[in-house]
Amino acid sequence: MAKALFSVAEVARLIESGKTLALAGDERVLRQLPRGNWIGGTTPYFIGDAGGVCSRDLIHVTELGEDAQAAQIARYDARSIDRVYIDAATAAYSLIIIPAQSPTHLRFALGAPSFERFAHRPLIGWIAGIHLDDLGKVAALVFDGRSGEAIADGAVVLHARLPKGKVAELAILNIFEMGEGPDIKFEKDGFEAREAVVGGVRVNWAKWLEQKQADTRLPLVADYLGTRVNVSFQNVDAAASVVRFYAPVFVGVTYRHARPVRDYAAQFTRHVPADIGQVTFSCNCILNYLYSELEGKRTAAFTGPVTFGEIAYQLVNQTLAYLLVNDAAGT
Amino acid sequence: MEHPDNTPSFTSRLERSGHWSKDLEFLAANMLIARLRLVMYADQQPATVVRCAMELYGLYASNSGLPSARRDLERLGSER
Repeated sequence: MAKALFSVAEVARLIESGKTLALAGDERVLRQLPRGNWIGGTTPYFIGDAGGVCSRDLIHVTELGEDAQAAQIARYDARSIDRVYIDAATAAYSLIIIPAQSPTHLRFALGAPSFERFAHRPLIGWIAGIHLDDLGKVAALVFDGRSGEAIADGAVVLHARLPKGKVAELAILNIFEMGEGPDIKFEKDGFEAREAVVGGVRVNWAKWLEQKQADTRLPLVADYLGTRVNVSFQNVDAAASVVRFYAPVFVGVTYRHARPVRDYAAQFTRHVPADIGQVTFSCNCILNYLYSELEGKRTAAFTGPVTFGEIAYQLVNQTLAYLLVNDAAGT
Repeated sequence: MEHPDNTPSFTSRLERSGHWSKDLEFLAANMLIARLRLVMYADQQPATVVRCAMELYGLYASNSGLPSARRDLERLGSER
């Protein structure tokens, strides 16, 4: 397995040699990097070559040089993020990083499937986070390596091209399945819900979850025509009658609480497709890292940042998102 | 690659999407259809269905080089 985690000095040398990079690391180390053709986002959690690790000193490096002929860096904010798919139209794929809890994060999460030219090109990426000890103290950031600027609200994107005959395809690996419980529907899109329609009955959902002693470490799972898409619980505040999520729930989508998973790492490995090809980038969820105790455990051949949300065309949760670059059919 | 002949195949598929068998491989299409079903549920005018079908067609046309999209297109084409 190729080395994935590097020191500041090693990454500085890669930048200075002209490489195009997507980086993940703690704010302190990203601020030390020289200007160059890179984007970055904050997280101290990674799946490295030796497994899950938390480090404030190491940087996860995705090098686009071998696959991407040319990559263009672009920046967006909450007002312009709806252009991301339009700008991606001439790229082979685009890699995006957005800081958690920023207006741009919220705008993308709620609106992406309605953006013009949604998914006309693969858009993969992640929501930048922070060390969990720092919750409420510091903000997640993204970095534009051209200027070295740290951005608390915005998105940085690498729009990458590929040599002729190569094609990029985005996929997800979600080992959670719908459980046996009732269907759950919502009457408003959003990151929080006060009421839900559970098994056809409108309920105070926070109180319902509390009464049922539901395990909210398990996500809600929606079935998108055979593709399972998760929404994770952030917290359940029964006193305030509100349930908060890490990604929005949508009106008209039917959810169910996930079936429990034993030994995530082992299950994960069993679900990895055979002959997967060349993985250019992948990221996995902080909740999988925490709840499945991935520290020191490997997840097959996948390395990457551990994130506060995964972007596979749109925002998903508790899911591995990955990008493959392979030969185009017929070449 | 032969595309299904413009939007009629997609229109027919979307009209039946409430009972759509789970046979699409292309992840983006599944995500887009989830939204288009809501649009069509809110506005059941034939023109809305056609507009949604064109959107889905456009998605496949842009991604016809992807293996999963190609397999979906071949399946759609064989169902005509």
